[in-house]
Amino acid sequence: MNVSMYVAGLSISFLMLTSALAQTEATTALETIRVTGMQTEELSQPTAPKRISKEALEEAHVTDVGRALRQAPGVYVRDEEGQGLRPNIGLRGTNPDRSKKVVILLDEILIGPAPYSAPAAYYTPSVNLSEQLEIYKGFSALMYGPNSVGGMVNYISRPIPAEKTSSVDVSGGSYGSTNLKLLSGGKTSWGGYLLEGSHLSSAGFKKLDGGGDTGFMRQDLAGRFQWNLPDVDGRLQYVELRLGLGHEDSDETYLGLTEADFAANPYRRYKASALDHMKWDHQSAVVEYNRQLGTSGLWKMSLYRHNFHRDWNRFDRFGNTNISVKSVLLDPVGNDALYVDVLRGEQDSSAVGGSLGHIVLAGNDRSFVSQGLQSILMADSEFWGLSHQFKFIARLHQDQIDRNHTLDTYEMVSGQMQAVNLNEPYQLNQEWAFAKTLALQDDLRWGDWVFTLMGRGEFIDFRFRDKMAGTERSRSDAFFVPGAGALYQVSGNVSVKLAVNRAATATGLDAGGSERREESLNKEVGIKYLNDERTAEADLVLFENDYDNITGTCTASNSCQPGNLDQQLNGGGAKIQGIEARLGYSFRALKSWWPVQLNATLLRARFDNDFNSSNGEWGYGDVVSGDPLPYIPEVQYSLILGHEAGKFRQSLNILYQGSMADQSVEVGRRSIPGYTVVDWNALYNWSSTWQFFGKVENVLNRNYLVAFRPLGARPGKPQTAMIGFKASF
Amino acid sequence: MRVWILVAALIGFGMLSCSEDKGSPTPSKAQGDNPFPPGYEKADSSGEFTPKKMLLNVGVNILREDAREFLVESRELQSALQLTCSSNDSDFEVNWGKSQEAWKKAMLTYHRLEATAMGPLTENKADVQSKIYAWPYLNDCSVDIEVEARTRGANKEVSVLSTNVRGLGVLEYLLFDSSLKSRCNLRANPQIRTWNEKADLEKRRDRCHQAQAYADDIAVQAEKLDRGWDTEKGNYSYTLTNGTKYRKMDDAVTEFVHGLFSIEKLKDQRMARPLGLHKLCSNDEKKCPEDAEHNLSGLGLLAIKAQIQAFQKAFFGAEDLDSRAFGLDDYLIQAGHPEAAQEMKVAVRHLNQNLEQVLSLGRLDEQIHQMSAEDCKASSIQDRRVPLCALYQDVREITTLLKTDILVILSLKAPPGYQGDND
Repeated sequence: MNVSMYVAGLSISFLMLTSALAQTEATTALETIRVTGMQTEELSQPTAPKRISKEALEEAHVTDVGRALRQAPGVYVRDEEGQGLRPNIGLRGTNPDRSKKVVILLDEILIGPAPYSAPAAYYTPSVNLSEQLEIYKGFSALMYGPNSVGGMVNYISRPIPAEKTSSVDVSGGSYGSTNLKLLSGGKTSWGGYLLEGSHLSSAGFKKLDGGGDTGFMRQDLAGRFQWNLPDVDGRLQYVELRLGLGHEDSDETYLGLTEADFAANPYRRYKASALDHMKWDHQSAVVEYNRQLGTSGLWKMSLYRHNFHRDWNRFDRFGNTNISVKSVLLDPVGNDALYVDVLRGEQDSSAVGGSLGHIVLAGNDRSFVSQGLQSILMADSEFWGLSHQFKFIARLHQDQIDRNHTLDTYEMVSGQMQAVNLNEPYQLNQEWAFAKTLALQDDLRWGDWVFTLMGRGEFIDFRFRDKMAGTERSRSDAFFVPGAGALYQVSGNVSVKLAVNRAATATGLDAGGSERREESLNKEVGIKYLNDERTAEADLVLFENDYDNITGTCTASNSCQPGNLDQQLNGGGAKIQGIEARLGYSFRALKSWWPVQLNATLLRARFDNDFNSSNGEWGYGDVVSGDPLPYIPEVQYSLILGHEAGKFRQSLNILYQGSMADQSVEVGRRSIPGYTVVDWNALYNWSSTWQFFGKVENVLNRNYLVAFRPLGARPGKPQTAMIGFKASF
Repeated sequence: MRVWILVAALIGFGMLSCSEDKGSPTPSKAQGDNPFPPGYEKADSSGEFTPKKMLLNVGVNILREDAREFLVESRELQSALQLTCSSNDSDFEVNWGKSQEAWKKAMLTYHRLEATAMGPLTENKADVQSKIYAWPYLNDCSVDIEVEARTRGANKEVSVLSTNVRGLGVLEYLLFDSSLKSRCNLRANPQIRTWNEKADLEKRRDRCHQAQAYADDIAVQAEKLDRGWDTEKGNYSYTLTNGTKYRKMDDAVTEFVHGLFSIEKLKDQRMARPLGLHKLCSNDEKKCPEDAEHNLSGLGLLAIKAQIQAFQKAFFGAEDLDSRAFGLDDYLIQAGHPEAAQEMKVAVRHLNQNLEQVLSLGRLDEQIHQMSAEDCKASSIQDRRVPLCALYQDVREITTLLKTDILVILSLKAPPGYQGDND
């Protein structure tokens, strides 16, 4: 069946379901979605975020944050294992690798494992326990650090329900996928509480040569306890304790496929990845004091600590360290083809130079601590004839990573991996950072104008201790990034905005003495429109991030050569220009509401200087001005066709992601072709207790290539269907 | 007996005639004839030094000549094997020996080419290189399977075989393995059990026929290589220097220098690993003679010698270190660093002297078997308690000079992915 027939069939089913359900009684009708994004106040707020709403996230039962984020313009996500376990998020042209150039927050608290000393986000909050997402880009992300050139993503956890509620949310479907969510909570005389649990698992959609597990299981527990304190002058104050526990067990690998094997079966996994296994545990505690100030002011003081421990045993390389696994997989000719045969288990290591053909697994055991004290003060004031809205953030933060890396060597013998040498010490070190952050924002209102002045200062101490070599290095960095913007509210429905800011990403101790901050000058102009009924919206932003120096990190996930591993490298000047647009329109027809939303992102991300790259992220060789930054799609469109009729709601999400370059260096550069993915989800509110839902991801069951990273060709998720129910009582 | 010799000579003559038909190498043009367009630099090291003249000298006068010699020898190997396979039982042994000698000659010439692995040899991810000689990759069981399959007419075309089941390394196994017992797991490959039980001569004949097919394939690869360097065909020396492949001459020089980095493989794989000085050798005895090259033919040290001499020839532009032929030494002098050129000269002379001593001590694998791993580790350029291990240190001295002084002085990049992993 060709694609057009498929789409036609789908559209007809969609309409039939529509008219049938439009007849149903609306006693338990769902809240009407007008347009999914914009709120009226956003027209007058220069730093308002883009939101992935509760309907688009929680009620659509999204489990992969990447699928939700790509509904917003300016956000692109590089899939890795297809399940959203380790999303690679990029904003406004930042490299999406491990989301390390994006600030990840949970309820405005830094949640990455070690955002300063090791920003690669191997942990992201559970989407199951999140209600909404906020996306701050460019200028609007200036207040938060450390790596906010592109922007940040703030996960908003579920609030304590106003009434005592408990719910069970269960679903299951393709590839043995299960998703279970339990919730109980409500307001009490002393405050309130919310307890949540989540279990998400799948047997995996990839098939290991010779059989074996390729699935995952993630479990999260969260507790939220609020104690009301006596009001002060009639203003609320309370203390909240938020606790979180998380655990993941997944048979995930860095190892992908050759292009020929991908074409034959994209869901294959080579034998050499049979022992690959990721396991992590996360503990989190936040104590927060909240106090209402004035009519709309707020003071929030948070003390937080997150512990994260991960151990990823995974295929890393061959015994022959001169062999690049990436090169072997991308171009398996000559002797390189022998190594692919070893990966498949079709040749014994002994036939490929004995120990040269051995398979080396990295045992990457890492412990992270991230802790701090953060104070956020928001207050209104009037002086000099102007109305001021202040936001002040002060943060003391310390984080660290302890790496205990070992190597396990195996020999491929008759298609089986036989241990040769286990637990060989490889790296034993600690990176540590202590950061003091001060940020201030002042929105000055003058008639229909809002002038915004803001700035963030960071004072950071880094320390690196090599426990094997017995050496220690340290350095300090301090910088201030200012920004200014002007918003003019043309009418009650239209506003225009202009902003400019400096942005920076701190560089730790990974550049062997040539540490240089990533710095850019960001400019943006935008226009927003929202009609009075909130049924039509338009949002257009043009931006340019002009980097004085763009940095990249050479990591195993971008095929770094062993000598440069974990090195931060400078790429010099680069320019990222883009257009982000959203059009939303909602109308009534056939006794139904039809919200339609189109998001478009056009990006041009190029180096504007010549240099020789020794960074796997950009490729090895000469980069010349005009070469593309890798894994940044030049275009991305998402079309969301919604429909709701009384108790029923459904949505068809069509995403097109344009082609991307696998590396900047022209020699050996490959293109990841553009692809279209269609997802569908539906919800039926049977009664106030029972809700039924279903979703199909990749409705058209398209096989598509998402990346050649970490090692080799990797597929997107195949067609996956889930159905379930939610009982609330 | 005389009749048989006459017959063999006639067959040999016939084969040579056949190989002529396939297109025998034509004599190369006299050096004085410029094979390039009018006005182009000559490859004769006259006048003032330029990097371009250096590349033309190395390309035309060294690598082109070596490629031509390898083609001639690969055809001689073909002929020798044809003669061997068709000879009767009484002549078989003698002709087998001749085939072995022909293989040795071709192998040593190939080692010279591999010492400056560049151009037609390494294009397309070293396609030709890996098809001619894939060492240390060898799948002897798969070779045995092919040998047995050929007896039933069920063998695969050599062109579809993996690189570790073809090439000069496989020929060494077929021609020099005296055990004549397959390395295959007989339970997994029951057909080999029957083959193992054959008479030795019969097994040699089977191997000979398979070797012939491999030799034919090697000759095809040798033709590609020769064509690539031939100034009237591929003329890679011209492609390298005329600005079409590299806009900047520095990049062309970089390719040449990266070719010389093959000496890293000599240091790490051919020497350090069997000597137990490389992390890839991690057994209890702390030495790995089984990983030495050419253990079957005993050619290991001569192979090292061939590579060192070829490195020296390419580096200095000619076999004679003091000749006027343009090489990297002249480039260093032009760059204002005659001391670096002199340092390399001293290191190479020192290495050559010590190499002769090591050669007189016996085969490579035997010397490794006899040495003490601890003494080997303690050996240095000054403390030569194990001459072979001290020789490794001499080679290391050269690779250090290449990687540090020379790259820095000439502002060239080290080859990606080949930093040398034993320093």
